[in-house]
Amino acid sequence: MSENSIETCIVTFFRERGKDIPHPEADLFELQIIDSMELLELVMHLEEKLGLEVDQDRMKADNFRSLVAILDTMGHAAAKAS
Amino acid sequence: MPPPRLPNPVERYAIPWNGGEVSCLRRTGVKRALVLLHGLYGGAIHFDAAFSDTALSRHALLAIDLPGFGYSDKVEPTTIQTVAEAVKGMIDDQKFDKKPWLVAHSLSGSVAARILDDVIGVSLIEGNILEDHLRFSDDVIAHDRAAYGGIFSRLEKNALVALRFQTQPRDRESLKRYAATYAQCTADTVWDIAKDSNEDIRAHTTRALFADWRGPLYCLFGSEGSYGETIHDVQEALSCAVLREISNSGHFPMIDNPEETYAAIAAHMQNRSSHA
Repeated sequence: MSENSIETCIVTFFRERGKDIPHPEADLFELQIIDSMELLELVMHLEEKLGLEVDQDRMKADNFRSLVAILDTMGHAAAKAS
Repeated sequence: MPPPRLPNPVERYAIPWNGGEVSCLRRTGVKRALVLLHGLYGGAIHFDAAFSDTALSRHALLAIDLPGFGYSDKVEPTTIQTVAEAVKGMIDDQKFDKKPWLVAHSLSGSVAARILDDVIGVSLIEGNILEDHLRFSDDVIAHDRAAYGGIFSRLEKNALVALRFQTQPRDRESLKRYAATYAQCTADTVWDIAKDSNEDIRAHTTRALFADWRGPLYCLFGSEGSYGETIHDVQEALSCAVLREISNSGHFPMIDNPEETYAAIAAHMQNRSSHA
């Protein structure tokens, strides 16, 4: 699975909610682009759409704090699944 | 060598309460009973590992579904006080020959503080005592009661993911079993109890009740739990409290590391009994 397809999936999640990510390292919590409930929905969305499961030891909010962090977390899940 | 003694069987049991029922999981035993109280969104099932735990194998156990949670009906109004009265009703119904030891998780810390005359000792697992411990109930009452219904239904749909952020169950089946408790409570129950608990903690009521109590208070915290450095503030607020960190645990040490959690509680009970 390519990084592009993971990124597309992440960006789609935010666009569907009328939100844009200003830059890859932007703090999504600090900028109130995502709240704790949307974080749960994001994980659910990514796991369902990408057919991956986030590692239990990566289930920490910090691993979803920015686009870069989310890509890293999902990239790790993809690598483990392949 | 004789075969190891098996614990007595577990049964689901209920008592009538205020036009509905209060339900529990219970097991008889020859050693002092432990009463187990869950936290917000939880249920008696969150303590299922206690029933198979070696350190507690000879103790009687009573894991109660708080009113409005698990298999227990909601009480009106749902407050810390009315929930505590239901817990006391269930304890009285058991007719234990000795006062039980109470184990309370998270929000149930406030419930525990209301029934101190009925128990010999208390273990709080990530128990709410200080204002810093209100993250979960703050999230609930950030919304008004009507609006929280919508939030709650989203949470219910994502209960498995929510629990994965907080716990490390050993297998997927356990995770599903624990997450099922989200579907057993209602938005109104959660909001009512969260609001009352918040007011109680901010008014320092729970803290004052524990401070006036002369019994043993054992506070367990997950090594990666919700309370972090504030555990030291608990010691400052309640000099009688004995603190214990449970390794490899978040906010649910009894799920993440049940062996260490229950062994610590059993050892503390034993130690206190020998000093009594």
